[in-house]
Amino acid sequence: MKQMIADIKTTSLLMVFLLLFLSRTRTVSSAFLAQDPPTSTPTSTSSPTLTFTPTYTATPTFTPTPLTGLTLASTTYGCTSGPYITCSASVVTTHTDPYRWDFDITYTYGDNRTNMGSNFTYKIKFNTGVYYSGVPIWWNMYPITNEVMPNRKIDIYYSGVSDLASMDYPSGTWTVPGQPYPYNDFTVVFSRTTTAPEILVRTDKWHLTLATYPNVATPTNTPTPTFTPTKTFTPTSMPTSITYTPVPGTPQNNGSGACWISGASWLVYNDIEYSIDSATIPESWIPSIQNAALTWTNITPSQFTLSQDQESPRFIDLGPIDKSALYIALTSVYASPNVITNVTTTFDEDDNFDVPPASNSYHVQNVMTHEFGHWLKLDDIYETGCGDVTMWHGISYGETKKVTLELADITGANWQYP
Amino acid sequence: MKKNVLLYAIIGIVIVVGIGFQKQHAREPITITVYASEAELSTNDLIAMADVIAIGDFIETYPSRWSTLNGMLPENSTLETVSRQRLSIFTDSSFRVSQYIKGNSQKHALLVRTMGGQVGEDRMIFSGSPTYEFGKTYLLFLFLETGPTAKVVPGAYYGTSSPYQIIDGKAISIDDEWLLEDLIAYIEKSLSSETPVSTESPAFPTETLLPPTETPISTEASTATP
Repeated sequence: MKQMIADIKTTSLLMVFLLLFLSRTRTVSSAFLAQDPPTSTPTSTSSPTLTFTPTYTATPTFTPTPLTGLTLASTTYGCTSGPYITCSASVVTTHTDPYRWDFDITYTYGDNRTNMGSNFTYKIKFNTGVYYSGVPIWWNMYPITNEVMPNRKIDIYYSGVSDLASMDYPSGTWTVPGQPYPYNDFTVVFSRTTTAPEILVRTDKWHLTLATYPNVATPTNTPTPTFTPTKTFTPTSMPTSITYTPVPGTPQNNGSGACWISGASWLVYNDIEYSIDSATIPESWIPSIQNAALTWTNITPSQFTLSQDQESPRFIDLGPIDKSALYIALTSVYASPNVITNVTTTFDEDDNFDVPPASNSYHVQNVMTHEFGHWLKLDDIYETGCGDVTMWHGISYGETKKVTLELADITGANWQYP
Repeated sequence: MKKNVLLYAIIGIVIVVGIGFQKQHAREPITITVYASEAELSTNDLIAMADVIAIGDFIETYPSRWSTLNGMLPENSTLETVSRQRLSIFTDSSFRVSQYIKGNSQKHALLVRTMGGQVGEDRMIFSGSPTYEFGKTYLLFLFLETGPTAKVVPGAYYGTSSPYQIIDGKAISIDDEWLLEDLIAYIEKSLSSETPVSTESPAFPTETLLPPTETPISTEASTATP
């Protein structure tokens, strides 16, 4: 007998361990129900690459006025030498006023000979329009970009008379004497003689200032660039599409507020699919049903989304219902216990429904907007003073007010599905 | 001694595995919440539409059942099959009628059906279903049930979500209150001004009133699928 009791004790102990093991196994196997909330983050398939290249014009702050003291009557320049050389020049007027001219002079020449030297002469003449005596003219030349070149000479002439010595390289300033000459022509001659072939192209760029007032060596005002965008912003690459995966918040359940009450909720709610039973639902109703779905989907910031998928077991149909004299449509929500697993809606086949509102029938979109509210597990509202909300329990013939959600409906949806 | 331990251990394992196997195959309890869009009907609408208007006492309620032939859910049922077959839970109650105001019946008791109830661990909550208190007297606007549940247990009526309870000579509902005699007079006046109702309608069930848990009269199964 003692032995038997001992055996039973041993066996019981084994069974307890076995039960504990099985119990633990079952707990683990059901743990998948407690899924983590979605953690997807917004992803963009195309990052906009915007290249912004402002183009601005640096405009000196000089105020242009009519030139009366000096006149740019003519500008002539040319290249005299050849035949195996090329040369060119350009003169750009950067500033004029009655007392001062500014020019940028670019002088280029090339020597393609291989066996001997060359001679280059380049003359630029400015007619000043100043003929009378007693008016001094100051001038200034300084290099902008130039090379150190042997045997280059720059001469200044007035009225064809070489009064002044050649300019010392690389820059210098002369003051033209006011008397006794009429200063109507101001000529700059660039020249250079090479003793051996160079076979290259050289460029000199100089700035020349003529003025009828002194001390022009240093500009009296330093031009300050004013940034005036001349080109409007034009993105060079625009995204063609952006795929945004919203992050649904953790659904809540069994909440309530002014004119709204909620129950269980969908665990994942950003794509609740519904199907429309084409065997019973008239085709003309389909846009109304889709619009009703869109009304709830469009609530922001909630990520709750209803979309049509004809394979979905969550169907909407037209058929027989109990208590059909009193009820227009039934929505059955299947939950276990706080997580919704399925929903169906049945329109009562004994009632009259119309797509356009009519006084002797129920408006399809009005009814379906209310029923879709139940798909979110928003309850019927019976509270006094809440008769205008979409989730109000009663529906009348021709009624359309449920098509548009009221604040209470939106608040409930946003609370339940953040 | 070792032989005995082995024997007991085997028996124990068989029992434990058996329990585990049974539990593994037991389905999850089903909870269904049903919402109904109700037609907003006036008292005049109800008077005109009701098949029967009667005053009676709530005397008995029957166990809730599924809308299947045997009142139970098949073992292999899932949420999907339940929804596809439109299965529901309903609860029938019996009212002893003291006065008919509309409806030509000699029956002293009427079967009144409410949607929802509990069968085992399965529950169906029907939003807006009326609640009746045992032993209380009500003035009922009743409609003959012709929907899916009528195929398994016919002959029942259903009432409005807000019945009138008779208290101290008053008929009181959630959102309405009358002196009982005034309400009766109003109904009778309304009915007398209506077009005479055909004697063939409304139809009263001819079947014997049976408790819904007994063998159903109809053998037609609820197989409606969308």
